[in-house]
Amino acid sequence: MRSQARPSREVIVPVALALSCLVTITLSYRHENSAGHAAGLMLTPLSPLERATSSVSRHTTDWIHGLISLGRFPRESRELRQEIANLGAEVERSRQLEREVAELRELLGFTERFQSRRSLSRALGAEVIGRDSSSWYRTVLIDKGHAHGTRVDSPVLTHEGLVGRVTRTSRSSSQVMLILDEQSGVGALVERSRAVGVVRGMGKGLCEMAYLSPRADIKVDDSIVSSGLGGVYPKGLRIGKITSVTRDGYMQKATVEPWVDFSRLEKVLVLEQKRRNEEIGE
Amino acid sequence: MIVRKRQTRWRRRARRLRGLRMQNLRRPRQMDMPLGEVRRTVPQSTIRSHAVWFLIVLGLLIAQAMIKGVKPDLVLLAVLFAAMHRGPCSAAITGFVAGMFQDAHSASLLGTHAFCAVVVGSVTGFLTHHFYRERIAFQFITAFVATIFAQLMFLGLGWITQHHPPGNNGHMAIVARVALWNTVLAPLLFAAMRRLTGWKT
Repeated sequence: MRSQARPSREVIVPVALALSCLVTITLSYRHENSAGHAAGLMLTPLSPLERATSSVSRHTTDWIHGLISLGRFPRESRELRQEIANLGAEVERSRQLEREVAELRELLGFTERFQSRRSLSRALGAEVIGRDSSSWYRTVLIDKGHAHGTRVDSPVLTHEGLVGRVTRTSRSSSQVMLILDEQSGVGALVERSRAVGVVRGMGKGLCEMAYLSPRADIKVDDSIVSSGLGGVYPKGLRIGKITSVTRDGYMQKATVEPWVDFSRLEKVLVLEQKRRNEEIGE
Repeated sequence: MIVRKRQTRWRRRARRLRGLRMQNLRRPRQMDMPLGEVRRTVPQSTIRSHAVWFLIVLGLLIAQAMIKGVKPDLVLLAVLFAAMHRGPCSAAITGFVAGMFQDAHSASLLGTHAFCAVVVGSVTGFLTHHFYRERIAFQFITAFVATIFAQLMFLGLGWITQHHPPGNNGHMAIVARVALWNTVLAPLLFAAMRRLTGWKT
């Protein structure tokens, strides 16, 4: 009689789990939307813990920084008071300019559809509570999810400029792909010469502007803004400035240094999807 | 003479009692169970160590999301620890659960990190079974080799699924940096985890 050797639990379990991983990979490759929902569900239980950890670590860092900068307070306070005074004057001047522009527009019969919509649109404030758990992608996790109004593809920015777009949402958190990620392409133009291209991430905190025409007029220190082409990002959002220009075959390429300091990203604004769709519909 | 007799009697009684106690410890209580059925009770210490293990993995997942730039693969280190101390089965389960959460937290395809962790964890579990695992040199080498293997597998899966990680070049530099991070951290983390869970090699 021949004895049949049965595979032990130590073989069956790893093989079964590896196979289930392969099935999951295949399913998430074919049905990316459903996989995004599943990932969102998995993010839900983790986000409160991350929010708490992030808050504790931020408070600790702030406290340490406060202790370090204790001696600099009097000088900083003087400088800040001066700065506030300057800013007040600046605000007053810009208000005056705004009034003048409005009057001129009225005179020209210019319709301010985009402007009015911009004022109607809601920008949602959010806090960065985590980063990509691998070293390979450039994404961050924010503490606002679809319960607060974020949607996939909603643009994310700070006062400094464009940050990226929402790629996954759960109930109380969302994943934002930064413009530093190679998979994120932003339709962009050079503010001075209006040359059009696409900005994508290069890693190491820099982006590159590709698909620039060989005759495009671009120079170092030119400012880059979003072009609004592609429908994800609204037109005119600040992206960065050109640090070098190279010729790549028949095209030109430029290295772009983003305005946003991604290493110190803490608070961001998420623009609501509704406004973007209205604009496209227009 | 009488005193010596009494002493031997007490010794005998003590030995008998100790034997009974040992029997009770070894055998589960089956008084209220039908004949032929054996109930397997899980000791409190096992439940406690597994709960601690769950908290450790959860903590490592969150810690990993807090670090900026190129970071150590803490989840993989947890999987390697499970492989060395509990065998391939535990490593595979830890790798599957933690890897899935890692995927949800990353821009990668769901299941990619989990697959790498399951494969590397179970292979490590099978291979390291015959070694003295508390030797630091062994932990260094295992962490370094396993991390390189896992990262290359991740890149390979990304290439197959056309889901490339960002950056056209510099992949090998990232792999090397993650491996070095893990190599340095492995003995420290393993010692801490051994202390917290109480798992012996």
